[in-house]
Amino acid sequence: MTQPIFRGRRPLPAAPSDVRRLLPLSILGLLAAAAMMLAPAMASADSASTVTIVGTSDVSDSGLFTNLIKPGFQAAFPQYTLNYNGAATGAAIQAAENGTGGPSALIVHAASLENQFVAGGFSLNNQFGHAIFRNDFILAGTTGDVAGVGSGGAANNIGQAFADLAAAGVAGNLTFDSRGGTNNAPGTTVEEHQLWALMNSSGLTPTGVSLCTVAAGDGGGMTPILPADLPASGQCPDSGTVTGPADLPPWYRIVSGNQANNVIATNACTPTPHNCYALTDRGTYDFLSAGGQGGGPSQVSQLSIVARDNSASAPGGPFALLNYFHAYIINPNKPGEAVNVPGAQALVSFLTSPSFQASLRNYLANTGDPGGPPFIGDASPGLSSSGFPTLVGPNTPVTVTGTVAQSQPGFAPLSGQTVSVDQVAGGIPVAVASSNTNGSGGYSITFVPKSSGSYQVVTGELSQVENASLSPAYGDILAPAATSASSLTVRGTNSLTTAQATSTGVTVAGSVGPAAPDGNATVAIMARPQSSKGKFKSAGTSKLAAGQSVYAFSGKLAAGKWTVETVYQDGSQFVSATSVTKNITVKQRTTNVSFKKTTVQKGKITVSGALSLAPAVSKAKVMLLALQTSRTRAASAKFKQIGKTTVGAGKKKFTIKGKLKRGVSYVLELEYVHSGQPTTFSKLKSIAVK
Amino acid sequence: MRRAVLVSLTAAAILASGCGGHTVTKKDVIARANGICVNTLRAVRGVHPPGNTSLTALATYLGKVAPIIDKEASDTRSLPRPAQDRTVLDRYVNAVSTSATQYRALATAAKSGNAAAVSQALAALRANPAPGLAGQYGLTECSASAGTKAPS
Repeated sequence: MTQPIFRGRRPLPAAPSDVRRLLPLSILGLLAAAAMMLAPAMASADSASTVTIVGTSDVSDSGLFTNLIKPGFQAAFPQYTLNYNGAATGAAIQAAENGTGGPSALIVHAASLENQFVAGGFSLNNQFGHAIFRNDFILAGTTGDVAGVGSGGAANNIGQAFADLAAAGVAGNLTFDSRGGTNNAPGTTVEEHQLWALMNSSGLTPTGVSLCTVAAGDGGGMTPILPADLPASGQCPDSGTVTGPADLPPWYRIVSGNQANNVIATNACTPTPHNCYALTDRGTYDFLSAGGQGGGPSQVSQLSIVARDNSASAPGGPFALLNYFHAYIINPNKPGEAVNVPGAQALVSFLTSPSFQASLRNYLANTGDPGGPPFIGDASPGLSSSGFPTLVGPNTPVTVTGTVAQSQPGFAPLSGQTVSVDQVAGGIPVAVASSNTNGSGGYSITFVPKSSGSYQVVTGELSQVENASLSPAYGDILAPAATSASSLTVRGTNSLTTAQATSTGVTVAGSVGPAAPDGNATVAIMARPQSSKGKFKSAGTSKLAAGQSVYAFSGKLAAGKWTVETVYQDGSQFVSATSVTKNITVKQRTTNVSFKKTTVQKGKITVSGALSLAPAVSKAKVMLLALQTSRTRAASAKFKQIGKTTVGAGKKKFTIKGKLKRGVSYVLELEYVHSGQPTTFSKLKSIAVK
Repeated sequence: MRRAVLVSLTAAAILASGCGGHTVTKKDVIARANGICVNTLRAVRGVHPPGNTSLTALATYLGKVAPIIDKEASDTRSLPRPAQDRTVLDRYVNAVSTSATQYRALATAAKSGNAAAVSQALAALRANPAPGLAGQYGLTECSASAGTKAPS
């Protein structure tokens, strides 16, 4: 069997001989823990198709991995096989640092150990851990609660509860089961050490109880020790903590093993039947309470929760028992690592996704625990926004305000973080404007929407130091957050300043907003007879160049009285804008007819003429009229038609032939007749026929 | 001989069912497509937004996002296509591919400093039917519009 190689941290000390007096179950727990430490060493390293997580047993012992994480992840990413090696947080960190078992990701829950992992460069890109969820620590005690934690008023005062159980322990009435450990300690042990320190700093340490200070490298805090063995320095003697039964008070035993092993040992509690206590996480406790994997009778039937939810007025405050879990992608550049980075990134994306975060609300939701589901998703900050108008004028600034709220209670507000407004186009966000949060997480972003569309407020990954008092400082990363998109419509404007009738229709001029955003914007002239209440019809269109905001162009209209307006539009860029209406009168168009050339030979006349406007249809007629000016009686002095022709559509020139009497003088005239137009006549022309 | 035929037929049946004996269903595809979208949205939102409204800043931003969208399109094209609602899925896959092309056009327009072309490319992207088709197929993670719900 290959021993794991540990770098930078001390290996787990060999179990002392006194450990033989531990319960068979405890021994099994130790063996299980050792197996978990060693098994990864024998396992193959991650390949491109596997993602191995090494992590706290809270995630495996609560059934969360088996029942929620693995099936969900593998359904979404079937190209990867996901494995989980559950161990104590400290041991998991060591395995991650050494590449033991070739893990790609780490899930743990002890700030004072995680900070060292990051500082050592073992996290990808030196990133803090990704917040994924939290639950809470509880103090479980056997049925009798001989310490009187619940009845003594310490049910929501964990410092007092620890004092009560230590006092009862000194009196020989109970045993406290710890998971133990040094720098490979479980996160629960690290938390336990913080709570002993809290009891001590609150002046609650009972008579007869001695505590030593745990080294910072082992997570810090304090732990009980036999009074006689307490060094003068106050520092714990066993490599920074207390590991061996030789130094432990008689009422304090180290069970070792995973979270579930410890709770089950406490439930069995053979040394002092039914008078054992343990600190554990509520996810594991509720899972065991519901019968564990596969259900069935409770595996903690002899236990009840005696202290939980530390109150705001109790020492430590309301966040003292919160249990934050973080996920890390292991740095592949460290020696011995075989990290599937894309696979680990997919895992982080999955764990922080809205659907997985929401699914936590349903996990272990029906165990009867009045605290409700134990796991709470806290991957993304809470994000609020207000100020998105539904309709906005062109080039009008919009100011959106809101708050980026810390999703992890007890940590500092998210200040100095970047927040942006994105337009969602085709399902993809496109950043439009950005700003930074103030000291309380508030923000204000002003932007000018250039087009209609869906807009939302978004944060990127937020990295923040959460506990600067630890050395090195401890921080974490919150996943991007986004508000639901708001539909915002940019209103177009259209000011028609001129609508002037011409001989062929109308000329319009005006201005529009927003300026044409691209080359597709158009202005159309729409018109209808003044007497009509029907639809307007197009009389002409002009395309605007990008950036153009003024227009002037002509449209064609027949003679008559018209109401005209213009319409500015460009697909979905903005709401089309219709101008005010204006009334115009397009005058009747008159066509002048004139002589160009006249020739007469032997009484046959040929007239070439021209029209000032070509007729639109081919029914225009031109008649040649003649009036005799000699040998004519006054009573019969009238023009007579001597010839005619039809002028084709679009033609202006014509020729008419006729006959005249020789030796007579005439006055000639041309008559132009066109349906819908006034009849016009040419100037007179005198001619003498020889 | 008969035995050999039987073995061959059995092997062929196993191969036809995807080697593992599991036929990919619409539900499987929804989970996988949601996984692709989760990865994409997380990565896109992880790109730092432009610090100002200049086209240069926008071009830098879009230049980082475009490869993410390209990968989404590539991953989406490789999804299996079960028979149930195949037409909708095909249209969705095509729309995602088109959106990658449109996003590239947007990035190119910004890089060349052409504001009109940026507006035009954005308009084209807005008209892309991918989000609607995603909803129609039952994908829950494939439109940024839904946002991320604040944990309660």
